Amino acid sequence: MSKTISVFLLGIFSCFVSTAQTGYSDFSRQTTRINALAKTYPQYVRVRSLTKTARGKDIWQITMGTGNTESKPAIVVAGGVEGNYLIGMELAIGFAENLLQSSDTDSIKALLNKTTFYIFPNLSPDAMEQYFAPLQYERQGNAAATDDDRDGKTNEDGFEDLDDNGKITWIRVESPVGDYRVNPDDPRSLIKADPAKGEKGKYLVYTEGSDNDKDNNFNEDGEGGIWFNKNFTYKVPSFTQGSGEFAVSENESRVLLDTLFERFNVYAVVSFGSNNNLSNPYIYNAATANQVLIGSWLQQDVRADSMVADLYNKTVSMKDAPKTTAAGGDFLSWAYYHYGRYSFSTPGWWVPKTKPDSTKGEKAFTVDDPTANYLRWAGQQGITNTFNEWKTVQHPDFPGQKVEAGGVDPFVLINPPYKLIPDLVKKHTQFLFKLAAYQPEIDVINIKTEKAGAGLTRITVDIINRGALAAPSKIGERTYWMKRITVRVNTSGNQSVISGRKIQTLNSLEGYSTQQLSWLIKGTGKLSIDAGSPTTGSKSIDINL
Amino acid sequence: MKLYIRNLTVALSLFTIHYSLSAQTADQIFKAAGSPANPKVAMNWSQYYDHAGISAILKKIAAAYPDLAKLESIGKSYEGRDLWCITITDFKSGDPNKKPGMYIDGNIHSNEVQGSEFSMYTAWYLTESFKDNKFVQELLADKVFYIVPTINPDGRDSYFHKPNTGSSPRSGVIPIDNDRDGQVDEDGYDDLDGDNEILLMRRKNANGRFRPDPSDPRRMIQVGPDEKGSYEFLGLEGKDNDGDGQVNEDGYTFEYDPNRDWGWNWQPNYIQGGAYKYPFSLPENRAIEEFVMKHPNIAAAQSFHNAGGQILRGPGAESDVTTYNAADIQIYDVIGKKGEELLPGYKYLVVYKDLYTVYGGELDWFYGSRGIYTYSNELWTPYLFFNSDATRNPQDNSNYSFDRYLLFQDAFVPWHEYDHPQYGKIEIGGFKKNFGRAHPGFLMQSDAHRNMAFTIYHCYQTPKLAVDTIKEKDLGDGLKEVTTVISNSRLMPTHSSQDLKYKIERPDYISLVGVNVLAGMIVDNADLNLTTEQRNDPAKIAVRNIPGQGTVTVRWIIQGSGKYVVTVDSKKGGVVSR
Repeated sequence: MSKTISVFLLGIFSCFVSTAQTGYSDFSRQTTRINALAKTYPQYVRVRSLTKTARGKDIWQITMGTGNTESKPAIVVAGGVEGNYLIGMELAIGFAENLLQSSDTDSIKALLNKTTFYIFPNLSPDAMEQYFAPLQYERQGNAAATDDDRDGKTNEDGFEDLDDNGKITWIRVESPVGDYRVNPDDPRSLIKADPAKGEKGKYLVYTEGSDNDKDNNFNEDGEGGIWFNKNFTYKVPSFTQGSGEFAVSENESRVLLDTLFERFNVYAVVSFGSNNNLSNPYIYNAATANQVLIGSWLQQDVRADSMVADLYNKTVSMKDAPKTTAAGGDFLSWAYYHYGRYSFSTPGWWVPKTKPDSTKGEKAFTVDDPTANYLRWAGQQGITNTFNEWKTVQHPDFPGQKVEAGGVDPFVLINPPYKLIPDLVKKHTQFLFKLAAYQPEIDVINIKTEKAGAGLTRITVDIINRGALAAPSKIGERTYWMKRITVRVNTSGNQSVISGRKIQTLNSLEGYSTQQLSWLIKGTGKLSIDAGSPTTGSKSIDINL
Repeated sequence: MKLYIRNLTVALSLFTIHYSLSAQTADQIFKAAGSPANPKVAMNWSQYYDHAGISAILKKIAAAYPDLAKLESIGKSYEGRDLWCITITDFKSGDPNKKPGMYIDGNIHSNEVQGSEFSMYTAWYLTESFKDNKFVQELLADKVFYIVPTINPDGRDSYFHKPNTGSSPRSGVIPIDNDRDGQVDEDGYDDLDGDNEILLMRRKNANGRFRPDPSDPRRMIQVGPDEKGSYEFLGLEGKDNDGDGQVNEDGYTFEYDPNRDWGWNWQPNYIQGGAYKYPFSLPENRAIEEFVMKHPNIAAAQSFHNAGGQILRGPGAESDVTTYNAADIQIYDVIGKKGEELLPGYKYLVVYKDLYTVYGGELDWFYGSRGIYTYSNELWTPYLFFNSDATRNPQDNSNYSFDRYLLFQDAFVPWHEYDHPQYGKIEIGGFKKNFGRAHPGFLMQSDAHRNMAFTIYHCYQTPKLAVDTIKEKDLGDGLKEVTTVISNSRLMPTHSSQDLKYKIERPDYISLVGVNVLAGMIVDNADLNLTTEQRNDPAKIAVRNIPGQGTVTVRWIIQGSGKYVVTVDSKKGGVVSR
């Protein structure tokens, strides 16, 4: 394709994006955007469907790079790890779009020449479609039929839209034994009453719906199956809603893992979801890190996390990220503990901590309440339509009692207004671009040959890692799903290796580190030494004896 | 896909005729107690069968007994072999899917072969004994056996047909890069002398620490600290194929362990050696998982391994000690101790405590995830050499004596010279792969029978439900109280306590059909009239459990009169009506 045409197409593409993109993409629009990348940038992008979900939706894989992409060190970028984080899918697709728009620059060309990106934009397509459904609620489960409360019946007690606004929010029931009270800072929000502080509740609070199966639980078994981010092997929370009957029970998870396990070139996994070890890196805990059933990151890997988190915080410059703890069965933990790769996750956005606007008579909050903080932030942003005033409804389970439906819209606490997305995509693209600069890279330097007499030559070389990240991660040293660095002496003719190993593997090379190797060779002529692994690339040197 | 063999009956009956002709006629035979006389499917239980052999035998059994046996392929192995499951029950009596089920498999480890023969023996014995044994008739009317003789047919065939030791391969055959150098299976064992056996290599060495045992010079013994030896050992038959200075470091014989691939407390390979990618990442195990999930009537399970003479229960790992709670251990103990009685030389043990730690093992998945009482038997014990306990005494050479006096030296390859590319002049020799872990031929049938008897006892103790009594009481105003007692006359409850803890299986339903039900309740104490009412759907009372050797009582208030039927519907306990 001539340059003129590609620039022309690029123009059309950007134009298409900027005019049409006003809100989050549904699955079919995601599909269009993903496939457009392959058409627009055939030299950099391949798109394939890994498999289809129970609802027949494709799990897309975008491979971005050049040449033999499988032979270059790679970063995995994953969106839709949780189906209610639409932002993560936008960041994943947006990263590819954003980067490729500049693919005629030298720096991006160099990046795509050196690094492969495997992008899985949406790993929960069945769940995410609930955002676009007539009845909107935050869903994580796929389309598998599950008996969430394990009572022998499937989907017998889901949500009901009692106030008929197309969204599932909350109901509150006035009750002398209620455990929620009105937030004194913002009466729209309800907070838990703390009896220890002499506080008395006024409301019982439930998700919007009724107790269809009369088991005294509300909406405990509605539509929505296995949660992608709760079905992986590290500390899978067995027998809880969405975790599946065993880890990796779902077709989409299985096919993804089969694909990733065969990609020995992957050195880092970046996923977008609720967990966050980029804003707040892990802290080393010797006791749990050294347990047989390892409970926290290893020391060297914690250092790498700090380094990458520092890069993230400087690049995206967002403060006050809520602290998170991976709940088990999650993709972030799997990619580290069981895949052995550097694994990073961020929600990509959170509601900033607001300051009171004194001109509007706002006061500092007395209670830490994310809902009240969101409502004040939304107000300051001019967003006015995301709160549903509490409205009396007739509720079959509470005859003669005052029941009101209302509260904040689903999704808005974790997904920003769409107008903020382009800037977030840009920042996260920059972060991934800079992360690739930390990539492990092997080199063979300081090649020395000394004659040891009578046709004997001693060869000494330094095998070095030019990158900031170790090859492999400390955890990766333990698993055979990571290859070691192999160093091979290729002899020819009359040459033989007298001392030193003809083939050897190195357990690891820390970031910016070196390891010296030497051999005693008998013979003359040309000899070569190869060193490399899938995550470091390879280097070959020739020596004349 | 189900592959019913019924349509092959006609074709295969020719085989049956052929075999009946070659056997004795009925009048020439005097029945030995407890064994089928003049069986329709003539079997030789003193030899092993590869996958094709197993397929042929199972097809014969299914063809000979179409009302008692059905054969289906429940999946394919990595190399495309069928995973055969033969279902044994009285198909003319009740729906097999609604009878309490006993699942049996063997050969999960490739070299642990005799579990296949032992489980096939069970299928054969039950079908051949049905016609004149009342116990078997009742058993097959009540219960269903799902028997998968080999859940690792690729490994099985590879153990038989490729050069191996008695301990290799343990793994299936999906290739793994064990030494992580980017090359796969580049340096495995080498059958240097071409006899389809991987034996030991020894070399004469004046400074070696071994010498031949004077009482049996085939045997090598370690010399004392102050003695001089004459030989050194060089490991198992092989050489450094890839020139990396290591021998046999990346072969196909240990790729992974199929018994570390199950979906309970699964751990990765750096914690649990042998784990593959994730639970059920091996196609054979996945097929079993899918089969078990589709058969919630499976209430008991047995897996056959070798060796050591052990009846094992979980937990496999200490971190699961609290998973096995007291109520369930009581049941495990009763059956396990019965096993010790039925199986001389076998001991009832707990994996993590008495053996070693296993994460992601099969028996823990069956119990932890599905609530199924499961044992794993390590078949064969040196006790069976001379019916006395083997010792760890270095002077104990009972395996050599047994080979000498009972097998006439058929189990040993004499030491012979070989010119090795790296080691020079060496000698190769040792026990063949069919000795040490696999049963010698003449001892197979007896131990197969005893192990079968153990699984039959286990199966017998799955729940047997009955509607014991139905009593009516007139409450006036056209209302009646109907009280029914449901009993379970066997050891196992309908829900193990692990099942109850996590609500693994749905409750049992006790329903009243045919009259207008106004209210329904579980009777907690009939004498004191303590009840718990079920407000939703009162005609179908859900009870969490029907305990072993116990009862539950439920009550309905009905209006009007008419005939009605009480039905108990339990996934693991079966369905009965009255």
